[in-house]
Amino acid sequence: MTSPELAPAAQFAPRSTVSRLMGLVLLALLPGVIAQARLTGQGLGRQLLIAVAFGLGFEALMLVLRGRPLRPFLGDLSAPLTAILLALLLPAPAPWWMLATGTFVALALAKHAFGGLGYNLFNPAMAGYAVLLVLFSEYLAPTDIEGQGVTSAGIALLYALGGVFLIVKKVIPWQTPAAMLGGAALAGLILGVARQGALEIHLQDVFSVSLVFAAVFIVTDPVTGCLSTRGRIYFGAGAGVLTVVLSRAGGVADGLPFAVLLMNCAAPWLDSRTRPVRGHASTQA
Amino acid sequence: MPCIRCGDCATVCPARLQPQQLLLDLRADQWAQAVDHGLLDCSECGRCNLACPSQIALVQRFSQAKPMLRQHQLQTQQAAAARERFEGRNARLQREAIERAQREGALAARAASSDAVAAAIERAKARRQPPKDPT
Repeated sequence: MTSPELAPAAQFAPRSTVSRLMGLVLLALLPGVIAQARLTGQGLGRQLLIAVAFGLGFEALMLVLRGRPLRPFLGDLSAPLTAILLALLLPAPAPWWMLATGTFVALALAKHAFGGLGYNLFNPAMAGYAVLLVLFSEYLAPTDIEGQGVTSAGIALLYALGGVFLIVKKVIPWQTPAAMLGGAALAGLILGVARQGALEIHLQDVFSVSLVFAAVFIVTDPVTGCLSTRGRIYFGAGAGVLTVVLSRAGGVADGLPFAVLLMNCAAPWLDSRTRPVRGHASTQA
Repeated sequence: MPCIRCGDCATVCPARLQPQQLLLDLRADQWAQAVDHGLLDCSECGRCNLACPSQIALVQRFSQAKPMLRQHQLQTQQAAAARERFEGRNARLQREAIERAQREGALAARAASSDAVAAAIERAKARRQPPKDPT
């Protein structure tokens, strides 16, 4: 007898699978990645391959150590996705040992030490990135693709297009990325007023590559985010505000991972505060 | 596959429940929370099953849980009643022990006091003297 929790759904074939969701996210990354690779040379493709190899290696190692089957978990594409998201945030010719450290922290510590897929409290890619930022800050100057004007905006646009694709495919909700960009714009505005006394939005700050990338691919991680729509808006907005504040006033090279990790801590509380009003639609006025 | 908290089950639920949260409650045996999160509002329509990318049999879990919830509530009720009886009996036994000790203490004190001794001597003397002849 199969266990009741994993019995097949009753009458219909499944419409979606975890590997399909992860595959769609990888597909959505593709245009932005190709553009970024063209800009930074061949280093990026090699970097992504190394990261994926380490990612799959650590995933397999942890599955064996935890006595879990390799079969469904290694093929669910979540480990390659985490590795790629992490590698895309590092400046292009990142040394192999940095990729190894990052994927180890992301997959072995942040993911599997907390119980593996679905049980991790912190966004694995962000945990890996945060540790790398703290350990190797001298190697990780603010990413060099920033501030290159038109090309940078083009890459951001391609990542945003990937986001639109995911929203249309209902892989991610639109509220989280929108809230993150809105929160970042608001924080930038307030910081601008406080610093220079000038009320103006710097579009290139708000719609930078890393922020758009994070809004589409990082804060939309379902496992470590919020469940309800309202919760997701708070989660995204908080991540956006904290990213801008920490980046500009926090004394770190990139505030993004710390902002996301902080919001990960707040997510269960936000979830408990934003439960939707229950009841069948017809019984409510 | 495990739940990845995607929330698709909550999106399709006509009762606006959060099936994945209910699943967590049930796995943790948090019955009060499960009721609080609307376990009994589930009409077992099965949409969450269909939406779940991890193919978790949510509906089967909920339909199993409802009779288990009743069982659990009955057990909780019975346990509460048994505790009430037990605590009532303990209180009564304690009260009775205190009262008995007080009563015995009072008797002992009366027996030990000099008045009691004198009274007993008086009674004994009265018994020893022959009654006065009425004639």
